[in-house]
Amino acid sequence: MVLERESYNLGIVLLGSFNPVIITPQWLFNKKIIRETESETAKIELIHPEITRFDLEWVSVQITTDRVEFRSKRESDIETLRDLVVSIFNVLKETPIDAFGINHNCHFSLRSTTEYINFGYWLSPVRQFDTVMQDPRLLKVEYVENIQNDNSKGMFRLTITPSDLILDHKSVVFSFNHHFQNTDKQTSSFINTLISNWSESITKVNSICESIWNQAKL
Amino acid sequence: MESSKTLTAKTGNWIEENSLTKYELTLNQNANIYRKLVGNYVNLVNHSTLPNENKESAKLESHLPEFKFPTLSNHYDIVQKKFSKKVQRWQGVVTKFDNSTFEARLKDLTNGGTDEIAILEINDISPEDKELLSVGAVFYWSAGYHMDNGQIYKRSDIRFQRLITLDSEEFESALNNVDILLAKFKPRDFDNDASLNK
Amino acid sequence: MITTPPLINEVEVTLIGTGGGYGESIIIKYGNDSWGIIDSCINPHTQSPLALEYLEGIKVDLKKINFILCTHWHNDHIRGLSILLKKCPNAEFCFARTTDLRKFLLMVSLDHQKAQKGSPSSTDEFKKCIDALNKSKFPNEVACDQVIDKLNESGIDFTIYSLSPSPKTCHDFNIEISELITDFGKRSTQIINKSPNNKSVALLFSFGEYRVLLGSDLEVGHDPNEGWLYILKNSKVLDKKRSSLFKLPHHGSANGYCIDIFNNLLTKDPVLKTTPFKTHDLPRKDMIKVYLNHSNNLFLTSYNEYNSKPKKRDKSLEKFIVKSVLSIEEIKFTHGIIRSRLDYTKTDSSWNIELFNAAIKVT
Repeated sequence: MVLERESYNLGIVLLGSFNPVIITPQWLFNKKIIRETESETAKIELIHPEITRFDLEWVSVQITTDRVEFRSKRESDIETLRDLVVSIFNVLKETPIDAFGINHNCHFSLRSTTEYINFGYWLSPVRQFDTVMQDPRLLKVEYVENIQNDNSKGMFRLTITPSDLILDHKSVVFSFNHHFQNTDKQTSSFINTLISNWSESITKVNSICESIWNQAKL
Repeated sequence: MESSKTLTAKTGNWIEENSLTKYELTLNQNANIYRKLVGNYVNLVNHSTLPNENKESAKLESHLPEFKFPTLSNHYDIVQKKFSKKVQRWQGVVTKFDNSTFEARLKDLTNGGTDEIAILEINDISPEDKELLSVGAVFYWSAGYHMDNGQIYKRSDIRFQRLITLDSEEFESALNNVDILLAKFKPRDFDNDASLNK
Repeated sequence: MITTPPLINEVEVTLIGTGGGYGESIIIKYGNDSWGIIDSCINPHTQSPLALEYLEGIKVDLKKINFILCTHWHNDHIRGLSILLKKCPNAEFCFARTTDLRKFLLMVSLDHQKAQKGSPSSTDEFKKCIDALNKSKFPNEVACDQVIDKLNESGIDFTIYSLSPSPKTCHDFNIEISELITDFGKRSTQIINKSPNNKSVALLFSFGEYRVLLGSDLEVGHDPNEGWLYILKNSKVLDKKRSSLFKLPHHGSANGYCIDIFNNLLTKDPVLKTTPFKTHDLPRKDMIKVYLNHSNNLFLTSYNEYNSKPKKRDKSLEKFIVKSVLSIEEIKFTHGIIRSRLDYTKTDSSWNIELFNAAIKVT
């Protein structure tokens, strides 16, 4: 049984060396990366040399000196998010980028609490703790790919937890982190890798989700 | 050497701890330290035998405003009430347009497979995107259901792609690549190439 | 059966169509076991090149592919061509000549730079073809009256000639490339090929007493220095022998129709075949009647039934999508193959036509 996804969103995280005060809504508009109204209506929480945080209508941005995170608010804007990141780092060409991750969150609602509990039992042999724990349940499970050498395709890490978006006690979220090392630290390499792996990343997420639901015993 | 798991955790989704609070605390601590340092320096200068210009700069520094950090929420709001429920996404390329409509070939970003051709209304384009409308222009169109604070609503969005244009460095790189590509072709006498027949 | 390979004494001209929108491809066999591929198309669901699927199906040794011809540089006509090039190690890569190759390659290079930023490319397939080129073999730039390949086997000369593009077309293309390069400053736009059909490569396939005319997308036009008008007046390779098989140009459109071709270059009742282009409603019913006046052997790779339906989706989404636009229709993928084989060792052979998948004979 393949469950239909209730919600999907995506984020891009970069690790490297950044100056938080540069990337602001006004700067984005000046570079014609976003619309003027978007920069004017941006919700700026803080712009500071240590940390900058602001929200546009469709994306949340947080920048610290060693980490940048862009998170889409809606599935409809994930390609625009990618273009935003590409454009920013096409301008900020000298930024050293050590690694980046494409993060996908897929939320699913099971049909009943029983199915939800059974899904946990299927993911992990929780019941073996029956004798030593009272009604043990699974809270989190994490899987990581063990690809050694081929960084060009990145490495997947999947975490399955209760959904933090749909709080009905029978929903789960599959959080995928598709991680890439940027060995030469160049922005051009980062952009190349991001674009060339974008579609495959989304396709792989979809196929993992489908595979899990096809095999899960609920 | 960090394990790959730890490394990926850093690019992984969601800040694992409440790092905003951590930063707020750090900033406050730093500000307090800074104030203390400035205060100590001012006292030192005023009671020292430093030349006058240094005393002047110390006086200026003592007039620096106190840092007042905004009160930020301790709780990073990961429980959004705004998200997409069921959405179809396309990437479109404009093939023609007139005063009121534009036609585009659409690539299905949600399901892949076959393409579609659509005629859309120019009035559906944001005024700020209209200047981007041209034959060959790329845009994203999405249509579907969204949730916003418990309310489900339908939404259709057209957004033209905004990518940075090629800069002079990239033009130069493209020019350099031409020689690499040209090396794969039979050498031609470019100046005297009158004949087109073998 | 589709997987039946040709006999040694047979020539084959196979047309693969997708219904329009995903390209077309022609495969020819000449001599005992020599092959050529003209253009490429893919299955949009699997992204696999249909010519490759066909050749592997009839167990052709891909080392016997002598040439792969790209009649247009735009992606729409050659999707999957680079995969074919990689799989066919002995194939010579041929494409329509341009007077200023450096400028053309600059356009390809700029397009590639844009693609690296996430902008859709129109020439990435062509670029991949160049990247796939074997160091030991230069590509063949083709213009009118050139030999693409030639061999003599079983005492018969097999020759494939290019009939176009004309010198003026090559020159005009040069100007068009300059304009396209100037436009590279614009953000986020894909190159739209303004007049692709003039530059396409039409072919004459000659073997013994037989001739085959492959019209590609070449239009007739009004300029006597371009298109079919130029060929009819100036071609040095057309001889008095007439073609018994004609791949109709430009999806059987009126723009690709010239009565002089039928009067001067084709036999009576030739085999006519073409691929439809559904979204442009080609070939139109009036043109089908015109072609039926010339021949009873008219074949299409699929029926040109105009489809104005959108893609099948979740019902609730479908309704909303249809309401959000003025119109939306799917570019359907309809796979059809028209295979034609002829025994070239006999002087009075006729074509054996086989139809597969959606291909039809028009009556």
